Amino acid sequence: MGRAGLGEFEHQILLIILRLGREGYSVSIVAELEARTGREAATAAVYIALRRLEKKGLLSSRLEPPEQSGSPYPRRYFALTEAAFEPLRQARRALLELWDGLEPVLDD
Amino acid sequence: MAGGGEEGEAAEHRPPRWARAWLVRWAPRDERDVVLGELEELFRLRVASRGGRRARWWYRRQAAGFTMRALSTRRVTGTRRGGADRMGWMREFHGDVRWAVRALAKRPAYTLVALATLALGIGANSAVFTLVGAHFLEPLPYDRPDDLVLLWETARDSDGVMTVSPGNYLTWREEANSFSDIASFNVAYATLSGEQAAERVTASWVAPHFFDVLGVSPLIGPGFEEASARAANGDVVVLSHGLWTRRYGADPDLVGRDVRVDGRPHTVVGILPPTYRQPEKGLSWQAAELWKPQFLDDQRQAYGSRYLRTVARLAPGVSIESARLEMDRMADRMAVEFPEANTGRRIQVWTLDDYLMGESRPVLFLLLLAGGAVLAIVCANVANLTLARGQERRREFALRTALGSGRSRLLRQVLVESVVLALAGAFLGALLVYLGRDVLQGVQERFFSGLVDADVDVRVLLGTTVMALLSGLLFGLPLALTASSTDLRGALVEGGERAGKASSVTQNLLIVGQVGLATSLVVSALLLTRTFSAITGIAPGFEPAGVLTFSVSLPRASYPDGEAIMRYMDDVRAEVATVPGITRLGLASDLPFTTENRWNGVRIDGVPFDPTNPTVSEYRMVVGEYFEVMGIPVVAGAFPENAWRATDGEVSIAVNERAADMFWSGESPIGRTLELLGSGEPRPMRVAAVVANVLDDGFQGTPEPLLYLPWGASPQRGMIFLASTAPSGPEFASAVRDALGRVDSDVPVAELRMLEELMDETVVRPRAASLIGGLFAVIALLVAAAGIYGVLSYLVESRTREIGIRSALGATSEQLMGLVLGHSTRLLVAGLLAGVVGAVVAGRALSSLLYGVTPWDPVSLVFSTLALGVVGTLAAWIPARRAVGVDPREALRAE
Repeated sequence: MGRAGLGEFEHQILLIILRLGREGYSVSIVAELEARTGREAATAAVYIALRRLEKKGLLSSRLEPPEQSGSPYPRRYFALTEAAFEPLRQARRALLELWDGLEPVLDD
Repeated sequence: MAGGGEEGEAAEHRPPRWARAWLVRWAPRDERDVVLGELEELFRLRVASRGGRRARWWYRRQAAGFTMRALSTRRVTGTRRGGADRMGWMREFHGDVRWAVRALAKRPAYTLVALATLALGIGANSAVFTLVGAHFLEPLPYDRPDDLVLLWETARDSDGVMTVSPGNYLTWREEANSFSDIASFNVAYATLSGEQAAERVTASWVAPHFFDVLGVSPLIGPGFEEASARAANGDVVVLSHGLWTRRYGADPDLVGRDVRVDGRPHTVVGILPPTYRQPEKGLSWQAAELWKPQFLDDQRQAYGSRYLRTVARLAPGVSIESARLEMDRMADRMAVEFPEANTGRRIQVWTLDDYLMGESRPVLFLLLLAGGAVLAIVCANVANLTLARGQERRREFALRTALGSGRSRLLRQVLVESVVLALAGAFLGALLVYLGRDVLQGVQERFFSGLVDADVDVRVLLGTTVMALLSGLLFGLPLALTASSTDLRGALVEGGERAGKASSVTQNLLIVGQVGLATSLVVSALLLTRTFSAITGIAPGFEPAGVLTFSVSLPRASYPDGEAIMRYMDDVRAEVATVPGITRLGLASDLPFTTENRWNGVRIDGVPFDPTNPTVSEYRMVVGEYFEVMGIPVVAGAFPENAWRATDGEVSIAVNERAADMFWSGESPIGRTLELLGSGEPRPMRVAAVVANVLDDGFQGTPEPLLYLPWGASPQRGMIFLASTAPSGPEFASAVRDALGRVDSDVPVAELRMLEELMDETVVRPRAASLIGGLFAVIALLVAAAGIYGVLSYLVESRTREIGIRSALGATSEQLMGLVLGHSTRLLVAGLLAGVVGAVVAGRALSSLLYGVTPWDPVSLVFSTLALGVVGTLAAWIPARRAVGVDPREALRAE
């Protein structure tokens, strides 16, 4: 997996943030991810993926201080950047191409 | 949960403390607060949806996840400056560990044997650490214990410590400048009665400022205050935490209320903290549970009767040496001022630590030594197993080298494997020690000291971990070195069949070392066991079996004169005679095998008297059947029937053989007269009988000249009764107590115990040494035997082909046995020789613990060598049998 490409987990996280209205913090992301996949997500993995996506420029983040977040701790919100859409599109296209004509195999 | 419902619920809704602390450490530093906050939020969601228990588990998993990721991705995320290389190394290390675990799991037999051996060796050493740590690291339970000293008198010409007379104690307290204060204390028993069943507890009568000197404050209550204690006529008590909890249900309102002590109401003025122990050597006295103030006002002039213990705190800036100097001068002065009681006596100043713990040190040293030896044997053993296994893995190593693994990489891989193994073994060992911590505490109290607890704590775990790391490196090193220098071509070409020469030499040396160490340990253990039986095998000169002793102390007010005391004695004899099972009752002023001794000058008729250097003798007041109860034979003369009660006129006495020899140089002393100097007007005494010697100062003492004076000549208020009991046992205790209660219920019975128990206490250390030595020797023997067996098994296995060929060429089974056994015998003999040399060296180191045997005791040496020889041969014989059974066709086909 190259630096530019999108890992499966990264792919999922980007989609979750998209579903959350382009912005979310790890609590909402983990909760949504677990609800959608039905599996427990490792918070640390989510957290690291978020930071990696930020490094790749696909996410941007802002820190919300405790006064605003309403919790005794600060929260970090992640939002999709414009740059995130191209790899998402590519990933979707690649998947669809791979699936093309194979759907009947799984039907029954 | 102890905190009750609400608190327990609150705890359920908080993330687990450890996991959270872990996170604080391992969460990415710059984002720590974010991570902590968000995890807490998720945790709460989970509590709501799945319950606290599962949420807490989830939280722990998340913390673990963060830790793992921090370790493996730091380099990627680069969140810590300068950490890149370290983290890279960490990652490789992580890989090594995983590889090691897989490699170990592939060889369950090897892993299990190595683990069990390591757990045994490391566990034994953890236990040793626990005991040693308690002694050298744990402070005594007093304030600034290093400033505390015990002051004792000494008998003439003796180093043995003796209790102190009230007159001397009060004089010291008034005149000595080295101490900020001195306090007396005493051992006693008290009977608690009242609403619950009566109970006898170990007690102590103490100076009112006793706890101030120790720097111990009660947990609850004011404690003793001299003025109010006097106002209450001394009827106030302080209780131990244990007694307070056990008998009074830890009732916080008990302080200020009355409890019945020895039949009279006493006000409770304090409860001591649970860590408090009385500064005594004997466990039973350390566990005192009740304290009562003792005022010695009427004892100001009592210089002759010694019954106090004294503890003092050094004044600021005063060293123990200068305190000793001052007390030496004090002793000289006291000898001039009160010569009768103090001539020739010294004052001993002991630090609390030396007095209370000093005797345990040689045994603890022995423990460390034995533990170290066992660990060395274990390491040698596992090293051998590892080496043997390494032979099988030569191909693996060669292959890895061929594929580009560097020498250091291979070295590290092998060491990581052995350290992982050692740590796992250490974990098991520590677990064993932790599970056995009550046993360990029992050992600590029984053999060492009840003053400090043996705790399996962080220090022990740390020590164990360090030990595991070291042993891992140690036993991994031989393989690591041979593996990393593996001759690539040779290993691959030979098919890894033949053992590398270097490693087989190492293996042989390891076997020799193991056998040697085990031999030394077994010899040392035997020396200690023989010491113990030599000591306890000494005939003390009396028959302690079945003798019950107890003491009373008559109050002066009700027993003002000798007549009253003699009457009490007669009444007790009459009452105790009604107790079934008690056949005889004797009485003495003090007992053998105790530190209580009475010495004084004697003037012997017909022998010139030198007042500057008087002849001295020990003396003991006894009555009637003392010699019969104690089984001390009368060797010459006899006593007039009722001589013991003669209160005036000439006194008939008995002397022991030692006194007869010393004072009358072998002539018969019967009918000769002498005067005992000291208290009061000297009275003429005529020797009526000579009795056999007894060891008065313990098994290792020597018989001293001893005069037995009739009780009537100088009736004492302190009496020690000795009763012959038919079937020996403490069940007489309550019957005796009742009998004495019928005579005078105000006189408490104290120190009720069997004479044998008292004697046992004097040999606790030799017994501990022999038990410990024996235990470690057995472990060493087993581990060494397992080592020999393991290595020879491997040897036979690796020589299967050779043995098969020999067998095919017509070698008989005897020749084959000889081939295998010959090898092991050479190793065994070399090991035994090394062991004998080691044993003599160890014996010399142990010499302070030995008695009645020399370090080169031939019996111990021969027996141990034989035992190891037999065990070693047996261990070699089993694999040798297998070699003989090898079918040549099978052996050749195996290739």
